[in-house]
Amino acid sequence: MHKLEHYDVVIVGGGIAGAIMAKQLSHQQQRVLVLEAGAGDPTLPYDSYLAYLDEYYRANIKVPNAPYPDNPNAPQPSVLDTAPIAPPVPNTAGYFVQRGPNSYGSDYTRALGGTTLHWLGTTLRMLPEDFELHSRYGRGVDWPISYDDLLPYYEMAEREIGVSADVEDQQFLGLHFSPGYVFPMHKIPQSYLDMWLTEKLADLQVERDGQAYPVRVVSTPQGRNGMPNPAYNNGEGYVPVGAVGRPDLGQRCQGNSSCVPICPVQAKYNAWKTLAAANPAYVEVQTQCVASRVLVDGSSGYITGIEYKHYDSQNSGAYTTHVARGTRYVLAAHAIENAKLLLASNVANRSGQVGRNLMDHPVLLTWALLPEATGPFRGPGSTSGIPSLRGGEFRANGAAWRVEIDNWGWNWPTGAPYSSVDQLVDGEGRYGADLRQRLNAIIQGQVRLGFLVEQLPDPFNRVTIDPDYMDRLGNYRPVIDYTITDYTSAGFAAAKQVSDAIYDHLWATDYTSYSPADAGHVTYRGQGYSYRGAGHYVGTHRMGTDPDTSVVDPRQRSWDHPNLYLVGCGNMPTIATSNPTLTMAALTFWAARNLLEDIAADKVLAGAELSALAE
Amino acid sequence: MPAPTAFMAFSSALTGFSLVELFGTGVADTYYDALVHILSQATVDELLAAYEPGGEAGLPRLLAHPLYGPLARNVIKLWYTGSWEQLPPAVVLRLPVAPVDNVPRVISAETYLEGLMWKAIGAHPMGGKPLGYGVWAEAPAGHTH
Repeated sequence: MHKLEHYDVVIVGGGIAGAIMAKQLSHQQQRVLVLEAGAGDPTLPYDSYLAYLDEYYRANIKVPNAPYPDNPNAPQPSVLDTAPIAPPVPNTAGYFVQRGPNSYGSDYTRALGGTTLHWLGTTLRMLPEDFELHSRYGRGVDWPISYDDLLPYYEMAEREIGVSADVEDQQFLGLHFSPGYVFPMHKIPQSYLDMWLTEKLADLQVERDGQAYPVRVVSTPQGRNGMPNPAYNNGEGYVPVGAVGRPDLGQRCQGNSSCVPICPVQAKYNAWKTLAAANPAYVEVQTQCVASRVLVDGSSGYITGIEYKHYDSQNSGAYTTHVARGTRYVLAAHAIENAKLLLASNVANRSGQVGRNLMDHPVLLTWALLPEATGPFRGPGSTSGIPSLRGGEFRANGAAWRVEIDNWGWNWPTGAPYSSVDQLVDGEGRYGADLRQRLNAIIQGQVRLGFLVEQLPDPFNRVTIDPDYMDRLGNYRPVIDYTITDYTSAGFAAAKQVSDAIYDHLWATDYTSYSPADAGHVTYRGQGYSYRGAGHYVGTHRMGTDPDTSVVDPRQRSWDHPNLYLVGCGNMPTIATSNPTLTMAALTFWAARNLLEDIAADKVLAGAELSALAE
Repeated sequence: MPAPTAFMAFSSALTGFSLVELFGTGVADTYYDALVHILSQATVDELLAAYEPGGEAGLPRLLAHPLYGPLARNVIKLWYTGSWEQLPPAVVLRLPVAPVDNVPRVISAETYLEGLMWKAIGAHPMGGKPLGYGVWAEAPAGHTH
């Protein structure tokens, strides 16, 4: 339970957004309280990270949340809970109440550090055109800020996360960088598969809406430690941040091939690193504190406190209720949890937009056997992608996507190599040297692509709350309404065509199969497509220029409550085609700057009042 | 208890890995203990007794047996994945296997990391025994380009 009667800022959520806020504010001598719903020792002991690793090793099904134990007092969604939905009967198997008609396929992690504990570490910037989707293509909405507005904050986010990339690879589709800018570290070496594909696909062109596009394999910026670039920061260089509590470990990616669900050495960024870099004299972190209500002064609109439920043990539903008070408040609990908390408190929702416009990247996986061995199951999950079709005129008619080239064979779609062992032993009756050789041969040819397909903001894709669905502590479970629209399905169709063209070009045998029994399945123009969740929850409290249609203003502050900031992917008006964490981190640096500006303005005001009194 | 010679010979024939490779995992005894715990000593002895007369040459016949076949395939998967796979109901009916012991599970963190499938595919267990920075850029082992 918290220690002070009053803080300068109370932050709800100890993931990357809350951590960046805490770090930025604490270094400006603001007294900060971070309330984390999930478990975790606020002193961030290295051994407690190793306990997660052990959980992962011993987990029978190694899904993204496998290392992070289910906690009935701060429940989290699991990809194992997803299933086809037959409205009006919701899928209530897990934490979510999914009303469909389509299944929302993603999870997140409720523990100190949040979902950065199991993210892949992809740190792509959004394209300049992504900020102007409506003006350019008549779809979705524009952002109230531009790529150039966000550019300095992208640089701050890239420093914080520790991004490895080469600027010269990343200048496509209008992406531009500050003069002389380099990333903190050189690009992560591309996999053998990446380079094999680069060569084979160099002469391939594909069409979309009658226009030709190259299929260019490009190194992906990643939040994992590589070789520091001595030119970084005007020649000052960059020192990679190793494991929290064991800084000698994780200075470089070792190729553990388990980024999702856990990097054993923390060479991949997680939010513990940012929490550890906050000013400890000014930050207090309390875990097992689930925010349940935002308290508001009815007449002034100022937020007056965060009510939260503290539990001593995950093994018991016993809790005590407390109120944390501060001058200002930041909700950084996650796009779903922020929206839930606002709805439960009936605050910040003059626009009626809270919880709406929920998006994800439905991921269309395709998988095939290559005619050559390319060495899968080695290295980071993905080191390259095909960004060529992230933008273009076709976006007027159908969703864009980015292609992730995967380094772990058919692990995601089929559970290889386990499934391959089962197939050979049970299905084909193989054993002995024949089994060993055959397993090698089929795995070595495995390739898998992932198309992260854009969704548009849709007011009916939303999270709501319902008193019929509560968790053990009496907090709301998220109720999800979710539809894959034709715009996104058109993206699936185009993706599958391009995948077919790629595999044909490679003389690969396509093993992709989609079934109506899959949790996420849609039919579009007579073809069935199955999608997975990307974990990219976006849009539930979007920013905008109009308080009637947005929840936060361009500075990330609530339109309705002058001392309340919202941060996280919920602020993003559209999802575009980049994994959202980097953009969200950049927005959080922007929000922190603005919050500090508010504080400074108040001080000036208070000073003026004092001098007025003195006169 | 130490894995008996018969079990090791049986395992080597089933997996295609040499005795040296199997002992090198350091978890042979763990697997033997797990089998005895799950299936009972009598069943394990019976399985090995069914293997021994025919040896490697008799494996196709043994693998086709309604009881010994599924047990032998579970021994393969134990070595390859480090996990126990649930035996089918028809097999369980014939054995004194407690349902609580027949749940699919990873035997231990160590057996996960020693799964032979990772060696077979020319990789390393996901999350352990990393190859080092940038090694993923190299051609796969045994590859001639």
